[in-house]
Amino acid sequence: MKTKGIKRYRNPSQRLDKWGYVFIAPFVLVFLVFSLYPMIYSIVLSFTNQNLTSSGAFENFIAIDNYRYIFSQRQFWQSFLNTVIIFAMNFIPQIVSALFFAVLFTNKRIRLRGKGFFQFVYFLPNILTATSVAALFLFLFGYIQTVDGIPRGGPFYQLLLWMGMSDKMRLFNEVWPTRIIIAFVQFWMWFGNSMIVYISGIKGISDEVFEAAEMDGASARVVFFHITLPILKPIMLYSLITSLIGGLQMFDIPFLMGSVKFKDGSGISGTLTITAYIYNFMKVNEDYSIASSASVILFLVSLSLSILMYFLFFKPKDYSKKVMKKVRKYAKLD
Amino acid sequence: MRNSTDTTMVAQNNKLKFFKIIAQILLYIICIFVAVMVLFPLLSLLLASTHSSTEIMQGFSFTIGNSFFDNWNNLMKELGKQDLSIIRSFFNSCIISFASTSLCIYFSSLTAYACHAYNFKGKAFFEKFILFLIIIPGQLGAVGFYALIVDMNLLDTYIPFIVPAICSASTVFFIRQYLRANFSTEFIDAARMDGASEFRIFNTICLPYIKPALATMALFGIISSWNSFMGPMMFLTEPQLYTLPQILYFLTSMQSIDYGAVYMGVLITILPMLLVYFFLSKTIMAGVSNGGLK
Repeated sequence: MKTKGIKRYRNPSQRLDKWGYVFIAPFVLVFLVFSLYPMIYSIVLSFTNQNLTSSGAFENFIAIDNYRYIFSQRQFWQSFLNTVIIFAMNFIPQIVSALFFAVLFTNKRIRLRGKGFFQFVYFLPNILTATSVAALFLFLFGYIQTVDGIPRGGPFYQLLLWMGMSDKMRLFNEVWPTRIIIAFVQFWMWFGNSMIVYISGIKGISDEVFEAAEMDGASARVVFFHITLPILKPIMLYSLITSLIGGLQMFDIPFLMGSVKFKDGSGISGTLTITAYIYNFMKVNEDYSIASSASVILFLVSLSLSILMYFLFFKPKDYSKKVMKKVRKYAKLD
Repeated sequence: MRNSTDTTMVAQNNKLKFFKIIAQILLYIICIFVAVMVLFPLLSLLLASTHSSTEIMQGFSFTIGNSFFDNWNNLMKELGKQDLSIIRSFFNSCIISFASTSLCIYFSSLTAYACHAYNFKGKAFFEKFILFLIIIPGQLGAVGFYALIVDMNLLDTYIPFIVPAICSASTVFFIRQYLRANFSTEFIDAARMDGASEFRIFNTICLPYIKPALATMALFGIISSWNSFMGPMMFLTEPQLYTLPQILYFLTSMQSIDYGAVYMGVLITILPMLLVYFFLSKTIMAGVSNGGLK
């Protein structure tokens, strides 16, 4: 036993390095079975018209017919559009408010009490169950059928009535109100998260940069537009692309708020997201090959966004020098 | 001459001070407004869970009702009709969260430790590959994964939520970063000299040492699996196996709705997360800022 230990110690690297394989084995095994195989299977399935249970994928090979079918479907394009519309409506206010509060809570000149409390509160919705949040807002904005015929609903519905909305309005039967509510709920859940990310980004900027800018007489406006924003730019791009990829997979909240059809009788839904579209093909129509074709398309879109992100972010750049040059320039101009 | 410049300066100073105070008040108003926007829905949830369905239909009120326990009973009754139980679902959610999170952090640490402690062939490739896995979006495999689970006869089991948690690239990456910053390989050499086996070194020296990183990752794991909805919707059809988000879906899609019962269901679903957040918000927010850009 003792000699074995010494032997190991004298020649440690080669003898023990094989343990590395043992330690990564579970990870690799689970990856192969539960990640890689499903991906390959999805791709194969997307070129066939076979059902899930029947075997022999190659007998049912139909080349790109599934893709042709999907691209000819109006609901597919509409789902993509719905997802992008809802995403844009929540992301723009989200990034603006997150940036505003991040600057507010990190700026040393602004003395606000309760910064910690506000951060605590703003981040809170992010950890709540999306399903329960959706259920909650469904009732806050919802209309309640009462016996006496007086229009009543959740507090937000009452508020909108008070603000002059027609009492014939059923928010969750109309496409645009439902989209706006979904976007609002997404915003409500995620702006605190972005805020925390931006705060850590701003805190990562060394104090010397700010101090130097102050010494050079740069105004708060100049500091924001020429120091804070340029340094945050990579973080903001990162959060844009990760949220876009996440946004393309948006499912829980729109799904629970219900799919609202356009009133033109076409049966096309204005709130169905692309992931819900795939889900419907799987669980409702049980058409797995169409579902996998759609997920391959979604994957390709997300992947191009990811690649974009990779090239934008995994190249470290020295921003501080560049930024300091800029600051000097603008401080003199002011 | 001198006097007049002094007075204008004083006036200017006063003006500046006045402006500053106004700005301060304005900022407070904005902050408080947003805080109310965040908290009001939660407050209304708490209040509504104490009111009966008919009271809720009368309109919103800021008072505390006395139907809290009636709502609980109604919820149990409504769910019971469909062979559902919120208590059972609560424990189902607990089982899935606990099992998947434990597997995830244990095996992710193991994988990260392998990259940290050994120089095996192909390590550089493996590490790049993990980064790649974080970046590629996961939804491609969804249909194939479903097919696999059907083929393996694992529908209506918790395996599809628990076992895949072993392969979590982002957790591996996070722990790897933590090890690199905090865990010197000298510890490992010292332990080897004492004759400890490789597994023992990992279990008794490395794991306790990286507890803070594990705690952060465990929190994230629990939150995300507690909140997950699409997975359970796909793989669980038996009412006995439903998780809490599925119960909520069932409640909101019911024909005749008992509002008090629904609010009660929502409250029970989010309460554990609220408690976790209340005590560990600092850890959670620190984790978000560390994972935000690495």
